[in-house]
Amino acid sequence: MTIRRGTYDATAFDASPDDVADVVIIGAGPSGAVYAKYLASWGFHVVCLEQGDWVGTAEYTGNRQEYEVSMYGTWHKNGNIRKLPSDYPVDTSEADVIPVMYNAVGGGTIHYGGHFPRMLPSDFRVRTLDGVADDWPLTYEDLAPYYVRTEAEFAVSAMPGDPAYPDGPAAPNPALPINAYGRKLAEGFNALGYSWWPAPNAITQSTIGDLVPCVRYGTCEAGCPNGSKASVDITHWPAALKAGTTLVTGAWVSEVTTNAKGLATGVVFSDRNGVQRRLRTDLVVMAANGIGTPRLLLNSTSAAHPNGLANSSDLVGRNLMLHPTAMAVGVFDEDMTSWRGPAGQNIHSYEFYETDVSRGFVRGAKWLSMPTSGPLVTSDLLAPADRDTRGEELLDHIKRVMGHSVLLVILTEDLPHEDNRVTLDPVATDRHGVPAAKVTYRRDQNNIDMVAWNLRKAEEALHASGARDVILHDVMPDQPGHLLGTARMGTDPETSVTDPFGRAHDVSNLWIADGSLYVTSGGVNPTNTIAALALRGVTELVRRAADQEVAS
Amino acid sequence: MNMPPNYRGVSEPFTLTSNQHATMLDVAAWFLPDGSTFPPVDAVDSDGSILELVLQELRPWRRTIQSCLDSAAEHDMGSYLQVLQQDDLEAYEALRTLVLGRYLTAPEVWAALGYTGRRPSPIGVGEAERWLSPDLLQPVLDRGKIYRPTPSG
Ligand SMILES: Cc1cc2nc3c(=O)[nH]c(=O)nc-3n(C[C@H](O)[C@H](O)[C@H](O)COP(=O)(O)OP(=O)(O)OC[C@H]3O[C@@H](n4cnc5c(N)ncnc54)[C@H](O)[C@@H]3O)c2cc1C
Ligand code: SF4
Repeated sequence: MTIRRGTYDATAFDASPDDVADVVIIGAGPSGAVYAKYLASWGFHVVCLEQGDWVGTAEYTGNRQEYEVSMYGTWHKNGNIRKLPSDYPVDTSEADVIPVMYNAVGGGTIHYGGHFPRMLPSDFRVRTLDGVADDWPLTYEDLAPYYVRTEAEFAVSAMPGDPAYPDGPAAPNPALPINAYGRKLAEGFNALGYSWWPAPNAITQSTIGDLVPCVRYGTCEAGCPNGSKASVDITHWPAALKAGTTLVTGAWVSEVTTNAKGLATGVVFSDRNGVQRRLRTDLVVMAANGIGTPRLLLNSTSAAHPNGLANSSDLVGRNLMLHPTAMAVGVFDEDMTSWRGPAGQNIHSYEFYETDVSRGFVRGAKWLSMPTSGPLVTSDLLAPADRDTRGEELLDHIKRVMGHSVLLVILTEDLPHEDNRVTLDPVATDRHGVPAAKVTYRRDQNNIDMVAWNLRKAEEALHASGARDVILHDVMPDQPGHLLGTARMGTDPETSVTDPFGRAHDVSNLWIADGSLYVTSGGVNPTNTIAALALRGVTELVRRAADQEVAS
Repeated sequence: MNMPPNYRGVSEPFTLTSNQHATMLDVAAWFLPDGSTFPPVDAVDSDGSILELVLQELRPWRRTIQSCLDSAAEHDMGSYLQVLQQDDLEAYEALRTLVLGRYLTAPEVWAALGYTGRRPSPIGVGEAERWLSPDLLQPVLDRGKIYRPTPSG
């Protein structure tokens, strides 16, 4: 029996013990999807094992009355609260920022806002320029061609010529309208002489593939009910499946198996009924994100890899970076219909992105504006004393803020620290008995100072834009779902887990595809970079395929 | 494409007993006592359809909410909620989300607040340019590139 092609639930998986996949990918988020689509186009038989399910556009609440409430329950960002059958527990009791994610075909792109910036050239040279952390083993210029292809595949809307970046070709769609609230903020930035630009988003304005034009519900973070936001269940998986990929849902991988030589031989996974299965493969690609990938590697111990797979450097799980994110809400007299989407980023500013040591910290933050939401979410934007009011007073506060506000989000760079890490929880397990992930994450003084400084500047900027009140929200614990750095790339096996393309130093037929590869975090949303790195990695994997060492 | 089933919704349905329902209305009245400008809390959702939607979306909080409603029934509402806010903020927030969520999901409340969101608003031809004109970006362009170039390679 050969492994069936197409997509089906793990309970229907019927491959025989003799079957050997060319490649097994663990995780069907953007990094896994990029690998699958590319490998399938080169004729490899890929089997992707994803613990979550497909989510149909019709299941999203964004165009329904109950949307806002759903964000506090079934569509909560935090899997520990949402507790869907596809979520696994993450102990965050020792974390200043909670790592949020979505486990499904599409991974985090189901839930993401579609903010789709590139990293900046300086992000790849932090040690050289600022004397902290490390340089990446590649440059902005190395990644630029992959960014261009990624932005095409994600149907990005953007305006060419952004002065924060080197010039490059135009994205497939023009920038989205900045709406009244974006214009208001831009006027304030102009008054202060700040640089800004309409921000790039993976949200289409034309029909591209299966995506259709955005109609600005502004509810993108609970899945786009219109099918306009580029989530990889729409942009990548249909093509990968058409090219012969096997995508097995409800498949909970617990271990990557190895032979005496230390090469990967296959994976062990459970279906939703707890039936354990094994699948042999020539090559394994880890695409389970910055928490899931180290969790699995650490759980895959053997005589050849006693500290976990690919972990001779003891760096698997370490250097976790999460982009602490704060927010200033500017409240204006004018009604700006500021719930109008997309949400999506609206305008961005890199004015305070680069290091200026006179500020008392190194590195910096990206500023971006976003729409507000409806009345329930607005009640959470209020200052604490106003939020605690009741009845007419509370409703008056909501009315004053909703539609009259600009959310100015401050996304900060956090530096890598070995003590900020993912380990295996000694007690808690998922439904199949696999140890849960435990996250230890403390913000350093550099980041604390950076956030405080940026909040003060954001307050000034909102006042310069004409805001009557500004409400400051310090770092929000369950933002922003950027899971980075836990299996960093590099050239030296003692100080990195993979080579500069994502191949594990210790295991030549194990590749890492996701945000674990980050060396430093930059201060921008990561999915464009994760997908571009994945495209660069898989291109190299195919180039080296003829010489690939395999176990079978 | 023939997709395998989705198991998102597989969990016990969330409903309230009549006692819990009555207590929920008391909690709602505490958070949202009647005033003169907005619809009274007991006048919205007369057929219970919004509550049904809200409960379905708050399924992850089912046990917390049900047990809070059972306890609240035995206490003075104001003091119960104040103690809950201090001792179990998560449970307090779940109750708050239930009653505010129900109220703020009602169309008549949206009308009173002036909220017209969650409707399609297709992007008009030339709209993006209009928000940027005239010359909103000119000062930015005049200033020019701001990124730090790095030696390549
Ligand atoms: C609410 C929210 C908003 C966000 N907004 C933005 C944004 O606007 N812009 C941006 O750039 N980024 C955003 N992100 C982050 C973005 O979603 C991630 O960067 C991106 O999805 C990472 O891709 P990935 O492939 O590395 O991992 P993921 O997308 O997390 O995919 C990993 C997949 O692996 C699966 N998996 C994990 N462990 C196992 C296992 N043991 N067995 C089988 N399967 C497994 C998971 O179920 C999951 O589907 C947001 C994230 C969230 C949660
Ligand atoms: S604003 Fe656009 S992308 Fe966001 S949910 Fe609405 S249609 Fe989808």
